[in-house]
Amino acid sequence: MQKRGLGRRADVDPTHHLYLFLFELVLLALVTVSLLGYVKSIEKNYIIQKTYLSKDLALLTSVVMASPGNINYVYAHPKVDLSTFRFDFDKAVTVVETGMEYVGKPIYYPFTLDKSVAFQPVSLSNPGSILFSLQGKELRVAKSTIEASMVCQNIVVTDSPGKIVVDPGHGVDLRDGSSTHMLGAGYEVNGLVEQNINKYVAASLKSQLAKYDVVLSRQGDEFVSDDDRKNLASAKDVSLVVSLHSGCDYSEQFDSVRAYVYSYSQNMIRSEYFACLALKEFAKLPDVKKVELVKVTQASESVLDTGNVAVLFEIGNICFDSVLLKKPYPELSQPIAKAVGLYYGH
Amino acid sequence: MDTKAQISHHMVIWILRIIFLIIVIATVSLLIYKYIQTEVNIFDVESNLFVYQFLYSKSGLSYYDSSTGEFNAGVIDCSSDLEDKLKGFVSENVAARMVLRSLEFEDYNTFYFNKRDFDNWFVVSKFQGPGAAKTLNKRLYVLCKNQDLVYPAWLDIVVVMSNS
Repeated sequence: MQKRGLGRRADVDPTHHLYLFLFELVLLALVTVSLLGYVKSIEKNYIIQKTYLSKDLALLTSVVMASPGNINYVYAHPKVDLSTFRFDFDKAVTVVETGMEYVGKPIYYPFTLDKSVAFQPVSLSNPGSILFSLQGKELRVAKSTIEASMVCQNIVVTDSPGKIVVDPGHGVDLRDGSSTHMLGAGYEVNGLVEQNINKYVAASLKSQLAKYDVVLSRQGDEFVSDDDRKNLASAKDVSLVVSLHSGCDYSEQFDSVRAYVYSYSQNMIRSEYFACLALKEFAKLPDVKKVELVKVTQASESVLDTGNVAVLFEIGNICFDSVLLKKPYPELSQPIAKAVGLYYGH
Repeated sequence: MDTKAQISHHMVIWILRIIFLIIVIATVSLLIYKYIQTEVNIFDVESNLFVYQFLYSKSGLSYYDSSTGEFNAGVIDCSSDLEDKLKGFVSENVAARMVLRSLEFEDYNTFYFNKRDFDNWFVVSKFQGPGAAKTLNKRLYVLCKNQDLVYPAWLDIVVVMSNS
C-alpha cells in the first residue's frame, strides 16, 4: 500500500476495480441475452400477428353479419402473409401458424354471432386471402379466389366484330442493339426479354383468334413507332385494340396482371368491360396472385387513346422470378382469347 | 492494507455503482417491454360496433314490420320483450345493460344481454389490468313505439367487456 503524501495519488487497488468491471460485464451480458431471447420468442411465436388477425377477422365477421343487403368482401393484408396461418371460424376466430418449425399456441377471439344468419363453421388452411360473402341470410367464409371477387358489369355488345389490332409492346432489332425508341426491347431480366414475350404471346393470340380478323402491329423485332401503332389502332374498321406488355413491380414478389384503360376514351365502358372479362380469366390461372384494373387519365401517345375499345395488358411480373412468364405462350394468350369470345357473345 | 475509512469508502462506492447499474438495466428493460406490443386493444371499436349492431341491425332492437317488410332504424317496439329479442345474438366476451328512459329520465324498462356476465364483470370494471373489465357508456336518442303511440326516449347502454 502506498502512503498518501503531497502530490501522490491516494491508494488505488486495480484488482478490485477489475473484479467489479468483470462483474458488470457478466451482468450486462446476462441481461442482454435474456432481453434478446424475449424479443426473439415474441417474433418466433407470431403472437402479435395471430392476435391482430384473430381480432380483426372477428370484428369483420360481426360487421358483415350485421350488414343489410348482400356483401362480397375479400380480406387480405398488405404486410401479414395470411398463407402462413390456418383460420378456424366457429363462434370465434382461431388463428394458428402452419408449416413452421415451432407452432405456438392458437389464439382465438370470439365474434358476435347473429342467430338469424346461417353460418357454417369453416377451417381455412393457408389462404392467400379470405372471402366473406353475405347473400340474403347466409354468410359464407371461404378462401378467396380472386376470380370470385371480380364482378364485371354486363354489357351487351351487338356490333359484329371488326378488325382486332394486337399490339405487342416495344420492339428493337437486338442483333445490332440499335434502338430509336426510348424503351427499346422493354424489360430484360433473368434472361426474359419483354419484347420477345410480347411478340410470341401476340402470335399465339392471333392463332387462337383465327375466326376473327386480327392484325399485329409488328411481326418480328422491328421497331414500330408510337405514331404508327396509334394510326393502325385508330382505323375506322377496328373494333378492338389489345396491347401486350410485361409487368414489373419490385414491391410484389408474385405474378400479377394489370389491365389499363383510358378514362376519357369514348369507349371507356366497353374497354372496362372487356378488361374485366380478361382479368377474370387471368385470375383463374394458379400463378396469378393479383389482378387489377387501372384507369389512366393520360394516354396521348398510347394506343389506348384511339377512340376504339382498347386495353393494355401488363402480364406477369418480369422483375420478380416470374413463373407465369415462363409458361407456354398459348397459356398466356388464352385468357385474352376467351375474353374476346365472351365480349362478342361467341 | 486498506484503512477502515478506505474500506468504507470502497463499499459505499460499490453500492452506488451497483445501484446505478441496476437502474440502467431496469430502464433499458422497461423501454423494451413498453415498446413490444403483444396486445391489440380493440375495446373502443368493438363496444361501439356492438351498440350499433344491437340497435340498428334487423335482428336487433329496431322495429321491423314483417307485414310491410319495413325496417325502422332507431324505432324500438317498447311493447315487446326486448331482452328476448337480444337472445338472437351470441357473444362470449360482451355483456350489456340497456335502460329505456323518458326524456325526463324516468325509467321505462331495463333489460340485459348476458346478464350473468354483466353482473360479474360490472363489479370489476372499476379496476384495471387482467381480470378486470372495461365499460362503455352510451346514451342514444330513440323513438319508442307502443302499439300506435310513438314517443321519444333515451336508451342508456352500458357495455362491459372482460380484460381476460
